Formats: sequence, C-alpha cells, structure tokens
Amino acid sequence: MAKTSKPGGAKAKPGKKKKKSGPESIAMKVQAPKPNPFETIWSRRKFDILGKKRKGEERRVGLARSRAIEKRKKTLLKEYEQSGKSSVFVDKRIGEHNDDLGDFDKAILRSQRERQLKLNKKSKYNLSDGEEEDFDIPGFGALSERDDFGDEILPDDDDYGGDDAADIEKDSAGLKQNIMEMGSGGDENKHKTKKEVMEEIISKSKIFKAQKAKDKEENEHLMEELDKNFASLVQSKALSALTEPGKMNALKSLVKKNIPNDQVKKDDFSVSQKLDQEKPDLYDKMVKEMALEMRARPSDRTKTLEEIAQEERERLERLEEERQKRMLATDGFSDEEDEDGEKPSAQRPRAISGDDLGDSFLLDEEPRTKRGWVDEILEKRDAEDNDNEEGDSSEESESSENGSDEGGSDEDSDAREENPSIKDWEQSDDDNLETDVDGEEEEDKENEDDDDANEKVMKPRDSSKAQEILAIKTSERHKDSLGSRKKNADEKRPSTRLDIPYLIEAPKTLEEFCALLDNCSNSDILLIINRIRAGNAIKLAAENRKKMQVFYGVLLQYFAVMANKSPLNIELLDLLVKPLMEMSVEIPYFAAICARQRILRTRIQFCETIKNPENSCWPSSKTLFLLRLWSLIFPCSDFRHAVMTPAILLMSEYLMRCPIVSGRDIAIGSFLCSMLLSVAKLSKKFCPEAIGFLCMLLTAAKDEKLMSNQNTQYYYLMELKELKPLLCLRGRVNKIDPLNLFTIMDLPEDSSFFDSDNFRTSVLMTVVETLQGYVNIYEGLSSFPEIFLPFLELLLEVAQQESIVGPLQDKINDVAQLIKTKVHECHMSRQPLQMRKQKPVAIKMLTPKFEESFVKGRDYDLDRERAERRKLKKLLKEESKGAIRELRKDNYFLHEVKAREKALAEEERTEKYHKVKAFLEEQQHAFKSGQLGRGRKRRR
Amino acid sequence: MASVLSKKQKKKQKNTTLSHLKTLGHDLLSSRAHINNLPTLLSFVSSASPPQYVLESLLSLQAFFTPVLHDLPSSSTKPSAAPLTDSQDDPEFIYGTWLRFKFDEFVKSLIDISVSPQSDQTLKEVVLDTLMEFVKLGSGGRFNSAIYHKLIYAIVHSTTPDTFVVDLLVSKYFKYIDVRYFTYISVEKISRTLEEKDVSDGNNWSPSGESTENLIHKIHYILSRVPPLEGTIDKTDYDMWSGSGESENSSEKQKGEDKKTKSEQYTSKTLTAANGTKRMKLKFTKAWISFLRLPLPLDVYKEVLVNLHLAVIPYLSNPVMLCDFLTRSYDIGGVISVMALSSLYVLMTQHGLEYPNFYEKLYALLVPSIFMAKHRSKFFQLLDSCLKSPLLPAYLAAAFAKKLSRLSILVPPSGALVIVALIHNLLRRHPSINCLVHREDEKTAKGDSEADKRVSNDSADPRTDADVSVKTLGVDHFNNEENDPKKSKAMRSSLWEIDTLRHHYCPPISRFVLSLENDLTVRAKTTEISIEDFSSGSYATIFGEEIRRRVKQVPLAFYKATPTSLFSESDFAGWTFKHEELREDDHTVAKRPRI
Repeated sequence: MAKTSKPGGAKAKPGKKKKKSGPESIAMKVQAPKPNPFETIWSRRKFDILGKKRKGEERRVGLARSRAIEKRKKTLLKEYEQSGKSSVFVDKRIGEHNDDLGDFDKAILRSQRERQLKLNKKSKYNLSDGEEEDFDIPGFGALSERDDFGDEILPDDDDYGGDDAADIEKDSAGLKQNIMEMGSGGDENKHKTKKEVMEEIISKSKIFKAQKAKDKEENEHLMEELDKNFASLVQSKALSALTEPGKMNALKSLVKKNIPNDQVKKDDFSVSQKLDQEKPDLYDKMVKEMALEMRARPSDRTKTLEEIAQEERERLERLEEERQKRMLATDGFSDEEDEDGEKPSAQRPRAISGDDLGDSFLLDEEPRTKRGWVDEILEKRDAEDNDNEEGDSSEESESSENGSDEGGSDEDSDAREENPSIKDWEQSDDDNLETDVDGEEEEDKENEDDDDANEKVMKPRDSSKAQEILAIKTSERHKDSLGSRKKNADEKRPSTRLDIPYLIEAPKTLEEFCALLDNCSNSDILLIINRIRAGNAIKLAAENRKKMQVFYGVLLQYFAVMANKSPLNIELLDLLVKPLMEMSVEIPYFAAICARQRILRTRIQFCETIKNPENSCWPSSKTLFLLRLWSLIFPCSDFRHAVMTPAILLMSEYLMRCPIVSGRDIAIGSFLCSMLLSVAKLSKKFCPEAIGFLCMLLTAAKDEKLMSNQNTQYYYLMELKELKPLLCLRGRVNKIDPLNLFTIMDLPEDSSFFDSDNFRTSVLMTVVETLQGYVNIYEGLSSFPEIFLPFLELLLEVAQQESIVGPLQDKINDVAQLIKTKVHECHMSRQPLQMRKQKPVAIKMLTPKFEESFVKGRDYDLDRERAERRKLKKLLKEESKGAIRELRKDNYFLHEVKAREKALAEEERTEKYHKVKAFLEEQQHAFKSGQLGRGRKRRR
Repeated sequence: MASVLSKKQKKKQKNTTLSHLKTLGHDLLSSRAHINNLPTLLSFVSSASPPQYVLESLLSLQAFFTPVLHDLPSSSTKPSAAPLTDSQDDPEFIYGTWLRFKFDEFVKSLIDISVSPQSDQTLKEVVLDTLMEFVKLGSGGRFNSAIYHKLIYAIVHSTTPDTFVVDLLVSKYFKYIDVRYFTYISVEKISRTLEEKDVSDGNNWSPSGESTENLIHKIHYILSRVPPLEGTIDKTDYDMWSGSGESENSSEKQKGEDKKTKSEQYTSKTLTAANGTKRMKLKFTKAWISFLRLPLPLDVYKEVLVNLHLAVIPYLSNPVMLCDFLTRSYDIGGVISVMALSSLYVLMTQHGLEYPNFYEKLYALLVPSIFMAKHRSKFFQLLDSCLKSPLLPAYLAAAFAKKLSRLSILVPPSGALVIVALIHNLLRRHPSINCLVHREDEKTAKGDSEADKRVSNDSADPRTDADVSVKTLGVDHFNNEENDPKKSKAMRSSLWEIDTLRHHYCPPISRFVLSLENDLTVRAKTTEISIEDFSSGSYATIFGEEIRRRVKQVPLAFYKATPTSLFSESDFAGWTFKHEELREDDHTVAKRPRI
C-alpha cells in the first residue's frame, strides 16, 4: 500500500512483474510464473563425489536469498521508510494481519461484522441505498446459483490467476493493490472508506468463485480420464486376477456396455455428454459392488484362551444337559447307548456333529487310549477288589465322615480362619489392601456366606442322592460284567464317572467339597477337580477369579485334611499336587497369601505347643506335606520369596527348638533335614540348624561310653534337646531298608518300631546320606572345614562301633573320606579374607573408544547432563551466529537501499544539473549567436 | 474404739456366746475385779476358734491392753532378772508380770493366727493391725522390735506359701521408715541364724533343705518387696510408724508430756536425716549381704541376679561388698554367669572393682547355648559395652571376633544377626584387627618384596618360608577349644565364617553381612550398630518380619514337566515313598493329636 511512496522499491517491483508476466503470457495458461533463473539453481557441482556432502546443497540458495530479500522488503524496508515519518497508516481490517485466514475467510468475517453492525438498533431504521443492497446479495446469496454468472463475470481474472493458491493470492494482492491505488489516488494517507473495503471484499469473493469453477472443471476432466482408464483396465484383465471369476463376468458385461459408450463418447462428445448422466450410476454401482464383495475374507484366527475356555465350558454344559436327560430316563438306555454316553468326554461333541468325517475316528481313538493307560494303572487295583468295592467305598465315605467329625474342631477352626483370610486375600488381590481387616466384620460376612453356601449345597445333595441310586445300579451291572478284566476296567471308569456332573459349581466350603467327593475314587476326585476348574476357568468370567480363589483355598484345605488322616491316602495326595500347582500358576498371588497364612498359623500353633514340654511339637504330616507342596509350587532358590523364606525359617525353627522325645521325632527331624537339603540344593543356602541337627543325631549314635568327651561345639544342642543316645545301636541288623516316610507318619509315637535296631540303622543311613548331600552343596563355602570337621571325628567314632553293618560302615567311611578330601582342598585353596580390597585405579586409556554402529552427529557422551548442556550451547552458538548473519544481511540490505536512494538522488541531481547546464549553454549560445530579443529579456 | 465395738455388738446380738464374750470383755474393761476374764478371752484368740469369737475377744483384749501397756514391766524376758530387784513381792508387780505374761501369750497367739493357713483373711488383717499397734506402743512408746521380730520370724518360718500377710505388711506398713528399718534388722538376724545353722549342720542339712529353701524364698520375698530408700531421704517424706502413732496416742489418750518428748527425742536420735540414711543403708546392706550368703535355690538365685544391679546395688552402703557374691556367681558359668555379668559390670564401671580375669571369663561365656538363653538380650548389650574400650589389646578383640564368628555357623538366625553386629562394632573400634577381614595377598606382597630380597641376596630362605605360608594360608589357626583368648591365635586367622554367612538362608543375615564390607577403619564414614536393635531377636521376630513384608510379586517354580507326586526319592536320599499296603491294625490306630 505504501509502495507508491518509495520510488526505488516500486520501480523494482514492476520490473520483476513485467519479467514474470512477460513469459507468462507466452507460456501455457496453467503454468506458474516463470521463476527467477537464479532461484532454480541448486548448486554447482562438477563431479558427483560419493559420500561427500556439501553445505547448502540441500536447499536452494538462490531461492532462499530472494525469499529473504522479499521478507526484508516487507518488514525492514517498511520500517526504514516509516522511520522518518511521524504518522502511521494502521491497517485495521479484520483478519488482515492473520496469515492463517484465507481471503474468503476474511471476507466472511468481515461480512459477518457488517451484518452485526447492521443488526444494531442504530442502523435498524436506516434506509439502505441500493449499493449496499447489492453488496448484500453477492455476499450471502447461494453461491451455486451464481456460479455461471461468476464464471462469466471474471474471464480476465481467470487468465490472470493461476491454479495455485499462491498465485491467486498474488493476484488478489495485485488486485488489492489496484484498489488501493485507486483509493489512494484521491488522498494517499486517507483511510479506506467503507465502500472501498466492500469492493475489495466483493472482488475477493469473485476471485474465489472463479477459482472454484476452475477446480470443478478440472475435476470433471480428471474423472473423465479416470473412467477411460478404468474401462481399459477392465478390458486388460489385470483386474480379473484380483477379483473373483464369477464376479468378473458381471463386471465385464457391465464394462462392455460401458466400452461402446466410451467409444461413442470418443467419437462424439455430445453423445457422451448425454450418457454422462447414467455413467456415474454404473460406476457407482461397480464401486459399491467391489466394496461389498471383494473385501478379503480373513482366515480362521487362532483361538484365544478365553475362547478355548468358553468352548470347554460349552462342551461341559452340553454334556451336563445330556447327563441330566439320561438321569431322568434311566431305564430306556441300552448298554450300548450307555457306553456311548460314557465315552471320554472329549469324544462326545464330535459324535454328535453332523458332518463328521472319517478322519475323526482316528482322533477319537487317541484320547481314549491316552486316558486309558493313566487311569488303568490307577484302577487296576480297584478292579481287583471289585467285589468289595461297595463296602470299601461306603467305608471310605464313613471314614471321611469320621475324619470330618473327628477333625471337626480342627476343621472348624480351619474353616473359621480360612474363610476370613480368603476374603482378605480376595480383597487384597483386587486392590492390594492391607491384609489386616476387622475380624468381626469378617465373621459376619462369613456367616452370611455360610448361609448362602448352605442353600447352594442343598441342590447338589439332592442330585447326589439320585446319583447314588444310579451308582448302585451301575455297580450291579459290574457284577454281571466281571468276566473280562479289560472290559471291566473300561466299564468301571465310565460307570463311576456317570454320576459326576459335568458342570460343577465351584464349592465354597470344605463341607461342600467333601459332599461332592463322597464315595468317589481317587481318579474321580481328580476328574471332579478338573471339571470344576474347567467350568469356572478364570478366563471365562471376571467373577470366576473369586470363585477359583475360594476353591483353591478349599482344595488346599482338603489337601491338608487328607494329609492329616491316619491312613494316608498317598495316591490322592499325589493326584492333588498337579491341580494345586496349576491353579497356583493361575492365581499366584492368592496362592502365596494362602501359603503365608497357613505358615503363620502353623507357627503360632507350634509356639503354643512348645510351651508345654510334654507334647511332641514336631510337625505333623499335614505340615510336612504342605511344606513340601509349597516347595514344589514356589521356587526355593530365590533370595527372598514371599512363601519360601518363612517356610524355611519355620523348618529351621522346628529343627532348632523341638525337643527330641521319641524315635519318631528323630525320623521327622531327619526328614526335615532332607527337605531343607532339597530346598537349599539349588541356591546352596547355608542352613546351620540342619547341620547342627545332623551332628546331634550322629552324636546320639555314639556309644554311651564315648559320650564322655562332649567338647564338640554342637554338644549344646544335645543339652537343649535332652537327647539320650537314642540312636546307639545295640545289635546288628541284616539289611538296611530306607525309611518310609508314610509308614513313619502312620505309626504311633510309642511304636516298638522306633526302638528297633532296624529303625536306628535306617535313620543313621538317612542321616549319613543327607550329610553327604550337605557336604556336596556346601563345598563352596569358605568355612567348610569349620563346619564339617566336627563331623569327621564323629563319623569315624560311629563307624568304629562293632554293631554297625557293613554297608552303613562303608557309607560312613565314604562320607568321612569325602569330608576329609574336601577339607583338604578347601585348606589348600582358601585365602584369607580380603573384604576391604580396593579396586586398583585404572590407568587412563588413551586408545580411542570405538562405537559400534556409530552415527555421526549423535552425542556419545555418557554424562547426559553434559551432553544436554553441550547441545544447548551449540544451539545458542548457532542461533547467535544466525542472528549476526541476519543483522549483517539487514545492514547490507539497508545499505543497498540507501545507496540506491542516494544513486537516485544523484541521478536526479545530475539530470537537473545537466538540464540547467543545457539551458545555460543554450542561453549562452543564443547570446553569442545573437538572438537578442529573448536573450536580452532574460538577461534583464 | 468404743463406737466400733458397739456396732459389732449390735451385729452379733443374736449369738449368745458372742454376747457372753462381749459382756466378759466389757467387765474386763470396766474394772480390775473381772481380771479373770482375761484368760478366758485369751483362750478364744486362736486360729481354731471361729473368727467372730476371735474378733470379739481380740477387740476386748486390745482395748484392755492398750492403756496398761505402758505400765507393764519392760519385757517378759526380764522376770529372770527381776527377782534381783527390790519390788519382787509387791502384788502390783506380780500382777504386772502376770499381765505381761498374758500379754506375751496374747501376742504369740496373734502371730499364730496371722501366719496360720486356716484363719480368715479379714481376720488376719485385723490381727496384723493389732499387732502393729502393739509394736508401736510396745516398749514405752518406742518401736517394739521384739514383737516385730517375732512377727517377721513367724512369717518367715511359716510353712504355708501364702504371702497375704507380707503383702499386707508391704502395702500398709512398709511406707514407714522405721518399719523398714526393723524389717532389715530382723531379716538380717534370721538369715544369720540360718547361715549359722547351715554351717553347723554342715553336710547333713538335706532333710531340712526343703524348709530352708522355703525360708529363703520367704526372706527373698520380704526383702525384695521392701521399698528401697531413695538416695537422700528427706525426713518429711518418711513417716515414722511409731512416731505417728505416738502423736495420735498423745492426742487421743492424753499421755504424759514427758513420754511424748521422750519418744520424740528417741526418734530424732535414731533417724535424723543424714544419720538415718546412713543407718538405713547399713541395715539394708547387712540384710542383703547376710541373705546372699545363704545357699540360694536356683530360681531365687536367678531372680536375685536379675534384679541385683537395679534394686540393690544403688542402695548399698558399699557395693563392692557384693563382689564376693558376684565373682562367685560369675565363676559358676553358664546362665548364672551371664546374669551376674550385669551387676558385675555395674560394679566394675561405677565402683571401681578390679577383676583381673574378667575378659577370660567373658570369653568363656561365649557358647552356642547363650544364643538360645532367656537373658541373651542383656548379655549381648553388656558384651558389646564390655568390648567398647579402645584400650583393649588387639589379640583380645580378635579372639572375641573370631570366637563370635565361629559361633555364627552354629546359632539360629537371630544370633547370627547379633554376631554380625558385634563383629561390626569390634572391627570399627579396633582397626588393628581388621586383618581378620582383610589380609593383603601375601603372594603379591612377596612379589613386591622379592626385588628387595634379591638385593639382600638371601632368596632361598624366605622363599621356603613363603611356600609354607601359602600352604597353610587356608588353615584356620584359631583354636576354638582354647579358653584363654591369648592363646587362641585368633590374629592369625580370618573370619571365613562371616563370608559363609553371605550364603545364609535367611535374607536379613546375608544382607547384613554386606555391611562389613565397608572399610570400618574409616571411622568418619561409619557408625556403630546399636546392639539393642538385634539383641532381642529370635525366630519370632525374624519370622514376623518376613510375614509382615508386603507380597509384591510371587514368582512360581518352573518345571519342564509338572511333577505328579509330592515326594520323589531322588530328592530325598535315604528315604522311600512307596505306598505300602497298610496293614489292618494300622486302620484301627486311633488318630493321634498332632500339630
């Protein structure tokens, strides 16, 4: 706007414009104005050198320079021009300073403002003159209506403006300029009038419309071309490879119709114009069809765990339904049907499914046999005493009832303690609350739960009655089919399985669970557990987690109860191990909490019993088995484990604090030592209690005569435990049987077995074996000689006794020899401690440190802070350099401008000078040549 | 008194014998003519008669005796000497001696009641009050120590384990300083006689051993319950039983002025502030010393030792007098020594007791059982403070450190923690024993010195020396059995056991051992570990800490194949887990109670 005020700039600009517009008119309409040839230069490069980068290559130096100059012209130059002026022209047009807004947006904003002003009360009664009305219509009238009109209106604009928005902008700028020039013709510094602004807006909107029309035309053109291409594509069968053959036909036929059309169109454009109307339809149809039909269909994805669990549950549900049906219609079943129904559950759904093919038979066979051999082994014995099976089972049930009755108080207390804790854990599992929750609250909850549980129990019991009837029937059938053993075994399994529901709600209490397991054989119990697990898999539903946690607690309790039974059901215990372990994997946190609570409780009980010196406070079989179970479930070698650390502590405490009263105590103690050995095997943790206990047992094996020299350091344990030489052999035994834990656990405390030499020999053997194990795992310890040298003496003394049997003596001597050699080795290899050894200070390395896969420009400094600081410094330097450069360029620019002005002034001056001089010369000439009249007049 | 009496009378109006007793008592009090009621009433005062009768007669008799007590001849023991005096035939005097005799009888029966097991507790209380009243008035307003001594003697010699009377005494009368004073005297007398008896009995005291033990128990019970006197007693803080009673008496009964002043003189004479404290202390000391000379039964012994340094030593006139007893106990060994240590420590540190073999004895106390003992907490703290002095020779500190570390491979985890803490402190206090945990590699040292050796051209000798040293480097020269720390050769050893503890199964220990890795010779950077934090540890504390830990994550064991059976024989060498067919008789075995 102020361009006119500075002559130099104004001159330069038009010059450029002319340059641009000159070729423009010659070149194609659509082409952008020809750029400055200097701007197009990227870099001058004579040779392409591999791997060499040159500065400034990546940007167009010329272009950047011209841009910078432009920018300066816009900013610096204006400032410079304004510097000598007192008044300023302020452009207050809406959105004029906002670069983000397009021209059209600006126009809209402005017109909105206009409307608002108009709607003001002040102007409400103003009669509008025609001009404003005119303005109103183009601003807000439907653009589409005025499309054609607009097209016609601005033909000249059209050729002036290019395709690019930039060009349009330039054009609009030019236009604006024109307008401004027009406006400024009257008074340069006067603000624009409203009218002028409006005009400007109108012109802008017109330009926009023209642009839009052009775009539309272009699009149409493109579409036409695309159609043509598509037709040819369809013909070229390139598409047919991608599409379905059947669909292809339809498509082709469609295109065939199309092709003539196209051809016609080519021939005669007017016809094509006529067809244009329906052509988009066809195309659309095709597109739609393609969109619908040709989408790639995904293959069957692999099933997620949830889905598998879901399927399993569905299968079981189906089986359950069938079972219910069968239960109602018992008599109608033939044997074969029965057998069919009793086939392993995995087989069932396949037999039902309609499109069963031959190959599935093979699959059928496999699981059956697989199942068979596992179960067969377990049930072989059952099959043998099939006759009294019923009696057995009833006895079993009785005994289990008895067990529950007898252990009533125990169980009760168990349940009491278990349930709240379970709830505790559930909560803590969810939101990690502290495990201490008010006891009373828990009690209440528990009671409620119990009520609920009772209600729920009712149903299964009813059904179990029905099952009992069934069972009797099936057992009758057994007697008939006693003939072949194989068949018998086959039938027996299904028959017992018949009355097991397929879908079992997870029991919430031990009573419930026991009721469920009533009269079941071991394998059936396992089956029931597995079904409960499958039916309530955690993956199936969120609330199943809670159920499974409760069930886990119940199962653990069941395990404990079973482990405490007088005749141990080892098979069942072994069978329970697997589900317990697998469930622990599913709910590890809960399993750990369960274990910890149990350990804590066991310890509290232990502390209670140890107060009374008469009681034997050694762990019961239940505790032993549970400890073993946990050492299986949880890793023993962890430095610190939520379960195993307390468990090991508890075991060690047993060894340290329990007084030995009977032979049974010795056996349990030495078993604990073995268990600790197995626990410590991997991590080689040092357990002084076990070592001390073993040493004490060996001391107890010495002759009483030799007992006099009790200066060994372990003797204090003897005092502690008031041990008599319980293990001293009195007679020779013929053979050494390894101790059987289960027998020992089953025997009463005062059994004569513990007094026999047989037992003593076995214990000694065990002790020596365990000792050997410890010797082997502790060989790395630096105080190995101090730990095991007392043993050496003891072992030799024990081995000297005449009542020691040959193999035991050999074993003892072996272990003694082992200790001797290891001690010697240790003595040889051991060095005094060097705990305070300072690391030698490394010499500063001068070899450069090479980086693998070095990236240039990356900072490899290990000190991140320093690297950051350096980065910032570099940035600062760069910036300051840039700023200096910019300033310098600014100065240069200004200098140039000034020089130009100066040159201009000079030029003007010289021109004037010449003019004057010429005039004077002319005068002189006239004077001299005698044109007196004029000259004379001037002279005067 | 009279009002109380009338109340009681009203209560027991129905009982004819009771009323009879009352009239008897009334008559007795009314005039001397009815003096013959006295023996009748006296006969009722015994533990056998019903308590109401006893009470009734007791009240009458007390009322009778209280006013006449002053006029009575001084003591019943005197009649032997009395005949020499002039007024033997005086009927008044005869009456007086008779009265005195009856009074003694009365007191005797009262004491009998108070210690007899079948008498009622309330009755005992009344009886004791009466007795103490007599004690107060006993010998002319002075504290009647004879009666009091009789009472204490009776209490001590009573066969019943009942401590009711003593408790009563403690709660009611031991706040009076003179009561305490005379208690000490009586106790001292009793224990001295006991001791003499022991000495005279020699070795055949076993039949009376039971009773002696009982006596000692009683004495200890009394002695331990006498409240100790505070350092400087202010007279105003302490009431005198006899004195207070005197003033009461004087106000009530309008006693003669001279008596009152006399008693006051007496009190001021016996127990002025400074003098009183001294005498009190003296009696206290005497009582305790004579008591401690007795052959104490084990439980009393332990109790005495536990409380000695708190309850006794501060109040003794000369605590060093205890050193005989303490050194004797310290030499016994075992738990007794451990318990004696605390008192001995007080004596040594505060009273300048010199005990030459103290550290040897202390060293001998370091046995594994100490880590399971009841009083281990105190012991470890004392052990730590005993080893605190930087003036201890290095060999001693090293011997202790090595001995402790040797113990660490035998003791429970809590003990191991204490040991590590103790060793930590030892290493920090005695930089000279840091060779136990850090010994320069002799090979490198040799390598360095070899160059010098070559110059000094006798290379053959040191090389063999070095070889020998290399050979024996791994052998522990420490002699664990040696009781003399000087000869244990601990300085030549190294604390390998501490290194072993790093592999301890208990995580706190293996963590804690790492603290020894710091260079403890740099005192500025390290701090002593307070033993109190660890000394009271046990399985329970360690277990509790493990259980209290929050469960953050629970790793599970990994198996290639999930084990199907609980026990496998490969894991348990020497065990078998075959499931045997159980015999029939096993089925019938009743379930045993198990944990």
